Amino acid sequence: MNPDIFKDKELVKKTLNALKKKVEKLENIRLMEFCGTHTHNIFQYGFRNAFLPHIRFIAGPGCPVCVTSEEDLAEVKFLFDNYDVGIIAYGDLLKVPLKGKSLLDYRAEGRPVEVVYSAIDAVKIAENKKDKEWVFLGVGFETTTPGTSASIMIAEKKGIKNLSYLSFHKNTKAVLKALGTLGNLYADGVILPGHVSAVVGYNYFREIEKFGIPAVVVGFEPLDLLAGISELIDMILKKEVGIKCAYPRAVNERGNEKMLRAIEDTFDTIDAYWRGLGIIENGGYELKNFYDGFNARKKYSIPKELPVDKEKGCRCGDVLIGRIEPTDCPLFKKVCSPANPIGPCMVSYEGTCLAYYKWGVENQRLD
Amino acid sequence: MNEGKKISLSLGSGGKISFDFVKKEIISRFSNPILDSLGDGANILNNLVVTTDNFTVHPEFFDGGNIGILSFCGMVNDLASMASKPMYMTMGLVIEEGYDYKKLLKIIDDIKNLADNFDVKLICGDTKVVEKGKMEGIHISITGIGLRMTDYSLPVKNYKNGDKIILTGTLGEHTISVLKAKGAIEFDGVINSDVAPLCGVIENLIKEGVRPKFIRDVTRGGFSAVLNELSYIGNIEILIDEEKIPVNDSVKAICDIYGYDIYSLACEGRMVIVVEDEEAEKAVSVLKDFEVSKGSSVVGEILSNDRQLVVLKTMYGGKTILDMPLGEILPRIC
Repeated sequence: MNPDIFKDKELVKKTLNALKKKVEKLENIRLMEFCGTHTHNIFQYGFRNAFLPHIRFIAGPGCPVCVTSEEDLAEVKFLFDNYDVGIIAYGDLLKVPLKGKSLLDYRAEGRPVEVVYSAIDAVKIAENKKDKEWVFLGVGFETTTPGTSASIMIAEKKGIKNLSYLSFHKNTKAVLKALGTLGNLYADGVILPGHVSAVVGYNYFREIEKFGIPAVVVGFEPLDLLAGISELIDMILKKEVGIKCAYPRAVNERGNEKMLRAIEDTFDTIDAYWRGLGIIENGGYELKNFYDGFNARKKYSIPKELPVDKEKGCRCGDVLIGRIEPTDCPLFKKVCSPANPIGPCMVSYEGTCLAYYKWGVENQRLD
Repeated sequence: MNEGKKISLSLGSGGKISFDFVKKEIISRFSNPILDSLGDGANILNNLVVTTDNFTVHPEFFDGGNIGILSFCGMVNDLASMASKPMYMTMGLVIEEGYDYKKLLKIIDDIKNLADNFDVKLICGDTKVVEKGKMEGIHISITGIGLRMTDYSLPVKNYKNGDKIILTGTLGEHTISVLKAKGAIEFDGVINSDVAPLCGVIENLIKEGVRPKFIRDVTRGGFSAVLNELSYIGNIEILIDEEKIPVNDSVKAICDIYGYDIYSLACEGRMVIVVEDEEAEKAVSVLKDFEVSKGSSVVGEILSNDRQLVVLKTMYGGKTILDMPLGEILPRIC
């Protein structure tokens, strides 16, 4: 199949118009997208605005930078403050403040901070710059975790000594389970992440059935998104519960065995802090003991409970599960802004609060 | 309050952080009517225009250009943005000790050849050498002086419903070329920087009787930054039609893979020009006659809505907002 068909302009326009017609009698249907790339693409393609006021999109707890916690970032700060190490990270993490100072600010002070597009590039940096100790920050869900696994395995095989890993990787199944115990998901339907699902398989998300709402695994091209949204709307209208897959060319029930095995071979699940949500049982991935030599926490004896000052009153947790609108948070725009983000939803480009902040017209039609 | 605060790269990236810095720390201190107009250059005396710029690109050579070509083009494009014809220039060179002599001559010769082409005279300059390791390679600062060709100065403050926005070509080639030269991204094949002098094009446009209301070269902060500045200057809403924006498919593909926003990538040879509706067709046809602007087309228009907003009608039929880029261009992970 020609993959360009999924972004064929005429086909997308036709589908968009048909879907607009389908939802024109609906009122304020709330669809939660878990994945940051969905949030980004829905916005970029102009779909966020296209269905107002009938459908609204809520960015859920699926943006890796958003859920990287203050506790996680305190560890990075500890490393910088106590050791002469260089940091290797993905680009989005560079602007996130670590107690007021971001990695960009550290770099401005002359600290080595390298941006990579793939975890495997961390190995190249360590090989090319041998005079320095490097720490790679592993951020993200089951999409980026196998990359870190591969990187660790390569580093181990090559016997690289000047590279270690600080894993902030998060387990998506655990957060769904945790949200289930919190009670409610304030949405009428869930758009499940296509990339994570490609790795873990969509059976992984069966927990969502507990919420009594439908969910659809959705791809990322414009036509994928519209097809997924349409499927989800149909399920909502028929009051169906359960999971469907609107991204069959990439996702099956079981996932990608090789990638899952790579994660299993390198990581154990542990309890972990999710920014805005608190500690989630089995919510994180930590390097297996076998890789202690590559675990920055052990190599640099990072203390377990580093102090973090949390701004009181931040309600990102409630924004992430759709309970409140950003404008309902007492800190929004008063204390919390893109230049001084307090909570995760203001930190990331994909956060709901940042979207509301930047585009004050968020819920207003543009035509 | 600024205790311990350090300058980060975002401050010079041309996005919102740069813009805020200029307003808060420069305009507030030096405020005067010429400076406050926030043009690409300054109108002084009767019909003179002055512009100044620094060039620090590293590496100095990249596909499609080098720091010398970039400096000259940057200077004449800024003057053209003020509807003026470049006449004189000054040149400051800051060179790292140990820099390759032949490379330096190549840079100087490229500037000289361009200056000859456009009849711009170098009238003074300065050369400094800095201890090895205290800086990297070569930095160039250029000031240009031009003669204004119109009987009004740019940018104008008043726009009306239906004024047309013209873009003179595809977006992002310069950034992609430099990122490749830096080794920050890898791909097979060559994407040449779009760096080009547009002063001749603008001179012709004005000679043909077009009366542009706004001209700006798309540099740091990209297309989004220029449109947001226009929206700010005129206190207007802008509607851009994504389908009309010329696209370099290779650049688009690289943006998709690396997660760059094509609308915030810097160019060095593209202009955004605003003209009244009746002049749009003529303006585009004049622009298309030149190799450097043959990709010109009307990509949007000004709406009478009284709000500062840049709306993009996407190629898929939805609408979204083009915001001022927030700082340094960084790729996204997910």
